[in-house]
Amino acid sequence: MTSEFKFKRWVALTCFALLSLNVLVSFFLIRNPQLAKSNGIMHRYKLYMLPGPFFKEENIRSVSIFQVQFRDADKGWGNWIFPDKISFHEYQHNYGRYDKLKQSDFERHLARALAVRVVKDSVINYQNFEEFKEVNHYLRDQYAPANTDSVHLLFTVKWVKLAGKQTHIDTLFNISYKQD
Amino acid sequence: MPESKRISIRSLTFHTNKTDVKYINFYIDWITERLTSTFRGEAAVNVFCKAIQGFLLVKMLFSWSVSFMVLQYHPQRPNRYFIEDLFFWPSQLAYNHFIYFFWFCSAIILAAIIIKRNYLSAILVFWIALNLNRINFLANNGSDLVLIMLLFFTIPLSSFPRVANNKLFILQKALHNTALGACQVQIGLIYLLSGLDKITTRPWQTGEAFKLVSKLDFMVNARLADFFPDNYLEGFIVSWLIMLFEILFVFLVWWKETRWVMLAAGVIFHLFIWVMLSLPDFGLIMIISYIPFLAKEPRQDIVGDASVD
Repeated sequence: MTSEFKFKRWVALTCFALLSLNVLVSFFLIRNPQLAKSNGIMHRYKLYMLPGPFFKEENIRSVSIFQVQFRDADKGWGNWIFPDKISFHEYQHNYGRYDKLKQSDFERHLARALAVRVVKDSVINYQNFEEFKEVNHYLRDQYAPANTDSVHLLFTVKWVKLAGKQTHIDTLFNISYKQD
Repeated sequence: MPESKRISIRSLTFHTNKTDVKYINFYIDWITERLTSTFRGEAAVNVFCKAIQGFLLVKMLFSWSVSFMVLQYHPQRPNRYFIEDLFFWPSQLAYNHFIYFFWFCSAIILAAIIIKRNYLSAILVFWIALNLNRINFLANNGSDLVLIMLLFFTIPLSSFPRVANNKLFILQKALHNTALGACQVQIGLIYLLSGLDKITTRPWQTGEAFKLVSKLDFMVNARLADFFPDNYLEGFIVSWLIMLFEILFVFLVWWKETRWVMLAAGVIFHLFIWVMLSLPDFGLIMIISYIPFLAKEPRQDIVGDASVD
């Protein structure tokens, strides 16, 4: 056996071992998904090397609804608007506007980040939350009419239950505040 | 035991006879040949690398206004470590000079697509993708994670410039072929993960998942909502077909006879997701991820003695 052939074998077996290890770790994570939550390295490995699962039950069973109402200083409260749906409908009317689809995702995640923070830390002092400042800043620039003096934010999650086909709604935040 | 060899690895002890040793040697030779004899599937790999980089460029061009928006309204949190500052400085540049960042990234990705694929351009594009992912984090979805994974594999797949040193050249081929295999395996495992998750949950078992998905008004294409499976039988059949596809993909994609069926089913499945669920990026990246499966096998005899008698 020549030294080159030995080297070839050594390299091939090392690569094969790495590939097998990768498969084993992936199977292990498929069987024990909670491991990715408790370990930082596994979390990153799972996130980037084994993304998914997609269309999980909790994701298809719930629909989050973010709605906003602006109060005009003279005319009073306006109608509810649904920022992420406005962008999404623009995409639906023109499939070339991929940016609108991504904007819709961004708006939904911005509101969801605030909802997560409120659920975690309660709604008291919400005005100090970075997540709230971001939502407020965004809405003021993108949607608020010129003469707005107050804003009303409502974030609900609609859960569809399978057995009796009934739906129940959780309100994660319902806040009104004076616009700066 | 005159016909046997005794192998001890610490506490693990087992016996093999000459036939087993021949088998083991045969498989080691086979693996060695597969991984080190040549750069496998060069043409498919080239198309794949360019397609992945092209996907990143198109995605970036189409969503630059949202990237700008994210930077404006969702400032990045400070890094914890110096190494992160170093690694993510382009995203910091974006925060202060978005236009420079945008042109810098576009130029590098475009150059990587035009010139012959090589390690440097693959590393740069991967680095840019990580920085873009950091910027757009709140607007990202599963396609971005798959994209990063595939871009990571394009680095060893680049395999240019070819090295002159014989041993390094062997290593270069091995890394290329391992990355090609890893890329294929990982796509299969992503499906397996989703399939096994679905098969253990009631909505997918009963087929009611389609009714639930059709209610996701932030992603369902309103114009085509009527095409969703309507009754329980339709939902049940389609649901099980999807689960079977996702679970069996990783097992059946390796044989020529079943590969085309799996890939064709996958393309239809992802076109459905693209159109019906408004996920063009996810649909497209998964279709692109099939390119490595089109790699042609080089016509070479397997090294080693296959006979064991």
